[in-house]
Amino acid sequence: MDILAFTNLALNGASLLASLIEKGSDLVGPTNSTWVKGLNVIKTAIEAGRDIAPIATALFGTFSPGKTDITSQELAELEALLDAEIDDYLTPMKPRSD
Amino acid sequence: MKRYLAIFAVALSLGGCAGTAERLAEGALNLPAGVLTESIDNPITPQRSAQIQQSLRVVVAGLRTHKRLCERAVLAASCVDDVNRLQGYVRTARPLIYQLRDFVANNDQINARIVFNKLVAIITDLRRDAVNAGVTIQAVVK
Repeated sequence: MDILAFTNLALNGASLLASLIEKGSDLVGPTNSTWVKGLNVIKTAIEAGRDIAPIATALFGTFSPGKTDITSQELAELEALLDAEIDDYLTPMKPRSD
Repeated sequence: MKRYLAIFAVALSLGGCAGTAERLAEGALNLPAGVLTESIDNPITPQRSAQIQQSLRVVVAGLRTHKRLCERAVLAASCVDDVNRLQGYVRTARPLIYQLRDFVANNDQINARIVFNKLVAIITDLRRDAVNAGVTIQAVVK
């Protein structure tokens, strides 16, 4: 899984996974084949850029969607943050203290 | 949080079994054939632009920490070469990010997709190189 897909999973799938975890059911656990299969299905859907809500609902009967849209202001804020962080990272290294 | 990370670790471990597993899952779960396996060429929307920029933020956060630790001599001296090399990826990505923003703002889908795919490739290579250099890249999980 590449970083984009991973981040999509982390950001867009977190609320779904959290809701499933909080259910405290026996779905939770890497040894449960249903759980693993469901995760794999959702992961694939996210990697393909699909809306996971209908699939998640079909699989688990529940879905708490995370934030799926972004306002122009939020995008501008995100871009400003990224620019600042990149600028900081690309500044020359300070002399090491050793 | 540990439970969340454990779940994501499971999800990550499943990365190599796409395809057959999805087809089997479609049948087992009574989903329409192809719903999990067919490729869709999604438009590069502001949301997609935000996602890839957020992805880059996740990586750069790890790189900044690595750089600070290197400056403070917490890491071995070889980290200087790693920082210099990894900065090259980010220098390459930066103008592409600006281009992507312009193309998305003007809904120039053809060029947006070209730049988007370049950025995905750079971020993927950067992340791989960073991990090999011992950089810790955290997932943003809320």
